Amino acid sequence: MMSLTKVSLSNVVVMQFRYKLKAYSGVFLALMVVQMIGILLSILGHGGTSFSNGMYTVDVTVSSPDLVIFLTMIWAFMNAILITTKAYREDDFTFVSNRLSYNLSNMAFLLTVCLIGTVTALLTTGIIRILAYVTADIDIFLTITHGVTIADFVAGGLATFLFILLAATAGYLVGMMTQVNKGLIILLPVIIIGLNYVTQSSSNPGFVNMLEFYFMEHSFIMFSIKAIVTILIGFGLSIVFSNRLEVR
Amino acid sequence: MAVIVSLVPLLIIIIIILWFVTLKKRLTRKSLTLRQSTLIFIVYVTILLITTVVSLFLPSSEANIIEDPHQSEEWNGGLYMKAMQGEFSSIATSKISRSWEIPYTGDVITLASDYYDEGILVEKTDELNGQIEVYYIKDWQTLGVNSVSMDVSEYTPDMDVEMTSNTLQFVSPEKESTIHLAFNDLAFPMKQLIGESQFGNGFGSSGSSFFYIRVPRNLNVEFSDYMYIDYVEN
Repeated sequence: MMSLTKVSLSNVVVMQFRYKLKAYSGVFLALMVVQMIGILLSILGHGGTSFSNGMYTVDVTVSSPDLVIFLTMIWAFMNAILITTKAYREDDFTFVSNRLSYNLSNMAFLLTVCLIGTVTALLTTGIIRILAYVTADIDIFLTITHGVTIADFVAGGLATFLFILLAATAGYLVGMMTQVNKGLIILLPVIIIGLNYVTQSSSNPGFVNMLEFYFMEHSFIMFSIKAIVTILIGFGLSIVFSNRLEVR
Repeated sequence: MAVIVSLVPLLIIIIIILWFVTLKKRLTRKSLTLRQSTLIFIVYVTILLITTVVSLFLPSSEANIIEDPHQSEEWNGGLYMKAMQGEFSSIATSKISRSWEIPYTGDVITLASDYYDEGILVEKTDELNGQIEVYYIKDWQTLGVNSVSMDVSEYTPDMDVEMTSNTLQFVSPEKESTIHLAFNDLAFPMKQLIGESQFGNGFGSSGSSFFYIRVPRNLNVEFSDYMYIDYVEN
């Protein structure tokens, strides 16, 4: 039976996006568990340094939300892979949709969950600080402002969001590629490890070190451009790969 | 007690894992509803918000950050070199943490310590007779932590001296001689954007605290080879 109701692409995308937010609520519980483990591991494995002059020792314990952010990036990567799997793809057939609306709603979903992941990851700073204070036998808690301004905090928050979104984009692309060809599940890690090996063993200056490309960029504008361009390319390629998927 | 408290995070991780293992069977029968999931997540976010606010009221002290200890004159050479060149009198009294005037009429004095490995300066002077003066000068103590270098001298205890027979012993003032400091570092994306290294800048620890001992000129000073002792150039 044919439907006479005309729906626009944006309406379909919004409907699919809303559906995914409700249907994939487990993503948020997973985020919560991942971050809780990150918080506890941050307390257990905090960094630090010490100095001793033979008569007394100064022991400095350092805690930060870095591990929580890294685990949130892994969570984003894994969830992005998960939503490209066949079981999740089939959910989209609940609506009258096409590949483009499917991809756009997935991207909107990933953007939203990454934003929530970023906010909660950054908010863990407080609980890490309190737990560090309670669990470690600390005499004095030092604060370091680094002369950081509100603008620096905002830029840092946005950079954190972009890092998590980069991880999600990588996961989405990897997920889509492996859906097109299952052989890539084995081939991709081999290629990535191989490239990493080449980077480490070769002194070729023309080869861009991927980690330095993102993690050593101190300019917020340059970092944003790099991250946004990478995200756009990643999602663009994902759309191209998804068009090669079999129809239902 | 502290050991037990420090194990709490590990116990919570084990509880989370066990909770998931036991819950797995229950989830297969009936998973959480959207309402329950939303509620749990809202509680989690609320806890994070409350703890963020509470953490702002934790007793804390602003760390004394040293921008570049290798460039600043204040952190180089310092008071030790000044005192060694005979300019002890120009050292500000605020830098002299402790001082002792000890009557001593012997011909030989032995300097000794079981652990003290910082500098000791000895000034032989005609101004003293029948007594020695000991000063403990505490200028700065840098400690490199991740990408920052901070001065922790205000948290370190002052040293003490004990005179027994003809031996001047440098001792630690407290039995419990570990000072536990802590700080919460910025998240790595923020440090990256303010131009700080993610992996530390290689600053080690160094400091400027030492004993300055004034003795009568005719007093012989003996000490072990492992002690760092210099004489004032006068």
